[in-house]
Amino acid sequence: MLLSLIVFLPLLFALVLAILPKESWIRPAAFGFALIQFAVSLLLFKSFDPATPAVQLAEFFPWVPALGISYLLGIDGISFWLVLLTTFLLPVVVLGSWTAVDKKSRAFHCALFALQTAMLGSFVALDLVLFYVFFELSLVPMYFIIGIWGGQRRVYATMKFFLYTMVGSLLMLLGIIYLMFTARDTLGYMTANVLELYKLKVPFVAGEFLNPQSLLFFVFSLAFAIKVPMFPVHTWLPDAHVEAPTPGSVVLAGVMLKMGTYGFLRFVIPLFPEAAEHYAWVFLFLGAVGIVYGALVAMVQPDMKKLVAYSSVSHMGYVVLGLFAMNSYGVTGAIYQMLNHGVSTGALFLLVGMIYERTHSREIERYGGLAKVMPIYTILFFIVTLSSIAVPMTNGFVGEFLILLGGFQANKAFGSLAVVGVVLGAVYMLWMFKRVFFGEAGPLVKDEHHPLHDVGVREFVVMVPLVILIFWMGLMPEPFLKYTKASVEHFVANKDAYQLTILESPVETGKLTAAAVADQKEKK
Amino acid sequence: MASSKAEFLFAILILAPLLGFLANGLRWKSKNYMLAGSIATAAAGTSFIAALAIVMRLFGEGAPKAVTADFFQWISIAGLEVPVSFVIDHISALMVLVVTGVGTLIHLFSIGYMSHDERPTKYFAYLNLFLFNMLLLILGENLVLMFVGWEGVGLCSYLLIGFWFTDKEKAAAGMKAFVTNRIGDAGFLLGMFMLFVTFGSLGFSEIISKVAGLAAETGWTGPITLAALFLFVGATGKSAQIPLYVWLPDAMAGPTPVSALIHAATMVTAGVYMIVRLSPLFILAPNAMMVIAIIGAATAVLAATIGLTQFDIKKVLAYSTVSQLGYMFLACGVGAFGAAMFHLVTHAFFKALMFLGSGSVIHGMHEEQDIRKMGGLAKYMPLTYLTFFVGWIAIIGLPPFAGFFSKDEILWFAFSSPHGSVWLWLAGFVGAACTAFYMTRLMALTFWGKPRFDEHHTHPHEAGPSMTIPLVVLAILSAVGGFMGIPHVIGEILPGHPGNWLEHWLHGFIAVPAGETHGSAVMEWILMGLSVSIAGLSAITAYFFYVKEPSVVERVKNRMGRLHTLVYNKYFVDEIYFAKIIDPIVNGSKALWAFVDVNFIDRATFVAGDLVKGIGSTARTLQSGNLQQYALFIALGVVGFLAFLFELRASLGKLLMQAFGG
Repeated sequence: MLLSLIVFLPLLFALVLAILPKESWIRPAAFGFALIQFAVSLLLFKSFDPATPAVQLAEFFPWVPALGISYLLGIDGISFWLVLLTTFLLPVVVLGSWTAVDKKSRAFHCALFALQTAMLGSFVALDLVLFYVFFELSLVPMYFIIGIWGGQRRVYATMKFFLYTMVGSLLMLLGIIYLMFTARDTLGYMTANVLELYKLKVPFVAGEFLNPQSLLFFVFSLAFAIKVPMFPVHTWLPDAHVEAPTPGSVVLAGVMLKMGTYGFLRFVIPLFPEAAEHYAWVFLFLGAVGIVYGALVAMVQPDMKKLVAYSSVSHMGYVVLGLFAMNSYGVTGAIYQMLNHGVSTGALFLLVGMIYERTHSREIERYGGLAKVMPIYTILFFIVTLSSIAVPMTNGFVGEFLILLGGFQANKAFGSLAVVGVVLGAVYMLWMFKRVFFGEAGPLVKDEHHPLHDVGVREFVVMVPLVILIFWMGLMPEPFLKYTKASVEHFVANKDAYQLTILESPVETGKLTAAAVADQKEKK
Repeated sequence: MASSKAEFLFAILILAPLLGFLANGLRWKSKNYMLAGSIATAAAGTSFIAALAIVMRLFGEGAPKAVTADFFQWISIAGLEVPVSFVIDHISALMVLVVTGVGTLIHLFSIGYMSHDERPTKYFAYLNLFLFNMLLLILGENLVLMFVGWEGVGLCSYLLIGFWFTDKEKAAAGMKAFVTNRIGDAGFLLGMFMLFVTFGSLGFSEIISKVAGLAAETGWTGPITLAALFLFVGATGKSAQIPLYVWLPDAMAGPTPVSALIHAATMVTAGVYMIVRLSPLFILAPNAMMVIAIIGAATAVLAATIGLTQFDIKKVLAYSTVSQLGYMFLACGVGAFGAAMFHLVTHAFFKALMFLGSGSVIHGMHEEQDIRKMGGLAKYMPLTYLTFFVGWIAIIGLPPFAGFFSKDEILWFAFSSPHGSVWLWLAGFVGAACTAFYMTRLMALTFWGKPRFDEHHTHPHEAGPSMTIPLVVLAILSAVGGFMGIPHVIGEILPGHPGNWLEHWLHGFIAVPAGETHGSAVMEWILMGLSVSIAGLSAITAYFFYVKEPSVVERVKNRMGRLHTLVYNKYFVDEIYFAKIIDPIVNGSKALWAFVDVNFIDRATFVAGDLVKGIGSTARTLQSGNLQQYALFIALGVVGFLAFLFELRASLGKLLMQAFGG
């Protein structure tokens, strides 16, 4: 029951927050709940066995037996850290947005906690329909977070955000239904159980674009590519980020984007292995182009937050490159990079939020000389910058190195193209750093009416765990990699016929599904 | 027990500077330069002693070829093993002693130099952090660990160049250094990937054992040749070679001891060190070797000519460094890895000495760096003058000082090696002539002649012992350092016939080019004579120009006109890079943003959106308010949905089959 507890505890907390009598209790309660939530998720370390690639802590209840839809949760090395990243970022976000969100804080925190449930659900759901429900559900709270607490052009941004992601996911829904019918024909019963669907051999014809597997592959890919977001369907992201309030940006970049890359790893590649293999080059190419394109456009942004948003496009390009390299280095690096990006881009958004709260401007040109006025802020920002540009001994290096190695091994041309990102990453981050922190004091910095204060205790406390993780993951990656190793090895070794079993399950879920279906028939 | 003691010594060697960094870094606001400097210097000194203790084990009968220490497994994924393990063999022994030894002296010098600075503690923290990363670079047993240090020293270089960051120019110089280095680092990464894909390992000993016995590659696209070329791109970044040398002169924006430590003696030689370390690999890629030799020779000459015209004392030394590094690459390119290592060591001595000397001058002249405003300083700063004098003789290559031996060995190999040619030798020869000229010019304008500053306002003075002791020690090393590599032709005529110790020391650790050498002992004597005479002649000419007849200089300048403008402006390389590469990239990116993101992708989305809206407004006319009509629609909808649900799969499949013949 641990997974259900982790997934639905935030929803319970959201309800409690909704009926809390006093407005002033909201924030402390939310912070406390977030810590409890994180603590509960740490129980995973006790029950999770990193040595096996099998699905663990599985929970199964028939939901719509007639259609083979079930409530199936499970966790393995691929989703393990993503769950923890999600729960880790919640207290950070609550504490980090203490002063950033000043209106309707009750509604805001309810949305934040509900979002948590949706995101966690998508990482542990192993039934496609259940996954789809969580995946879509996550849009709703985020829609409100940007739409209500966002900046001036928030309506435009939310529309764009919603439309883009909806278009992709509706197509995916069709794909899911198609798969379920295929299961009926092949396996004899309808099912949305991913572990069962892995066994399907969706017809694939090499050399022809229009065959069922390739079409399904691209339909699923589009949905996830928009979520990631991959070049060229990335343009919703900068707008969404710029308009979103700081906590919205942190969650959006930190966790929600990973739902896209996770989708590739969990569903797209294993469900459609031949098509994935056949068209891997498209994604290696788009990944590499995304890295370079995102970096180039980030470089010329006048707005700090938009710069960070475009850097996300670049960083997520690395993840895609690693996934479609489909070797141990690439996939491990991709998973690592998802975590890195959650930590370091989350941290960057928090930092940009802190300075925005002081000056109400994110325009790079109006800063300058900040290092002298806010030295501790400068050090924090610099450390996160190092992580973002993947300097060794920070987390970023481990991920980027593995991805580039894997990418190069898979495709020398696109791998080499991606390496250009190493240079450009340094350019856009350090150029911004130079213009904001070095040189003479800019108009916002020397404004005598609004003297700038260095980071306060709360802000410092928010940053400390992130900084610790940056170095911890950079200096000692093995304890982290240990949990993904078995799953990645299994994935790489069996990518042509990927199967997952459930650990120590008395009955196979396939039989369970079949039994449930039979049961249903008998009743009739 | 013995090995665990080695681990203990390695831990001290590497962790001492890290602890120094933490000790100073955590109290970075302190203005107590004496405390900060003492901590940092003690940390560096501890490293030096530990290094010495380890190196001592390599001497004597039955000594091991290398001392290694394994700590923990950093990364281990499916065949990629990156252990944190270190090695001191005969190559890294030289390097580690230079880095920690010269490093300690420069830390000591910094105490005096930074005594008036606002943030001395931060400075010393960075300096220690640099040393730590440099040690990782030198001692790491695999390329990944070397890369960690490689990027780490680049980071510290960035921090120290931009140490006085409120000055926009200095901050820009730091960024330029980091980004230029990153271009090299990208090459380093690709080289590493190439090696890993080819040999399945990134450990030095493993790669070297795997290449042993392989035949040399003849073409340009073999894996070893590509790897060697990629790695060399990395070296051109870190070691400031054409086309990536442009950051090093700007890097002089940092405090002068930093220039001595990072931008002369240690970090910038990392590229040479890397190639020497992988010499058995490079020797298998003769085409890559040729590229290295040509780039090295070209850089040696180009930088030396720029050095002829500069007026900033540090800029002259910076271009000189670029030029001398060019010599080291020339040596690597012709397969004279031992000579490269030799010059690396002697250069570390005399260039660190000269940079510290220039620091002493700048300190004494109240932050003046323009040599046109100096002159006659020999009288005011005798000790600085004397030590600088030793450095001058050493670098222009007059016997028996250090530079003579190492530079001459390079010139000889450039001529005689199977990979060498008379053209490479000639380039080195021209470079040597230029070197002797600009260095003498620097001596003349700084120390000789009459003072050109206002003696009532400026009172040049010698600094305290923390700054003079390092100068004296380095001067001694610059004077006698060359004796570790006495060439055979000279050794034979000396009493006791001293052999070439360095050659013997490195024997078996570096690759030796196969094939016939050309040239005889007589030839070696002739070439040696030529290079010494040209150095002497250049020096005398420069002395005549700048001390005896300064008017000649103006006449020559006017006669040269355009050529002088070209060289004085460093061949306009920075301007060309900006106009032809950097600006187009920035403008192109702005265009991408404006046209692709905003105008193309977004507009396409909105057109699609409008289309949907159009359909929506047509659909609106259906909302007539007629209940029966609504019911009909609902019924149709339900039927349609059911049909959809149950027939979807079949019809979709059929559709696909029909339409696409699947």
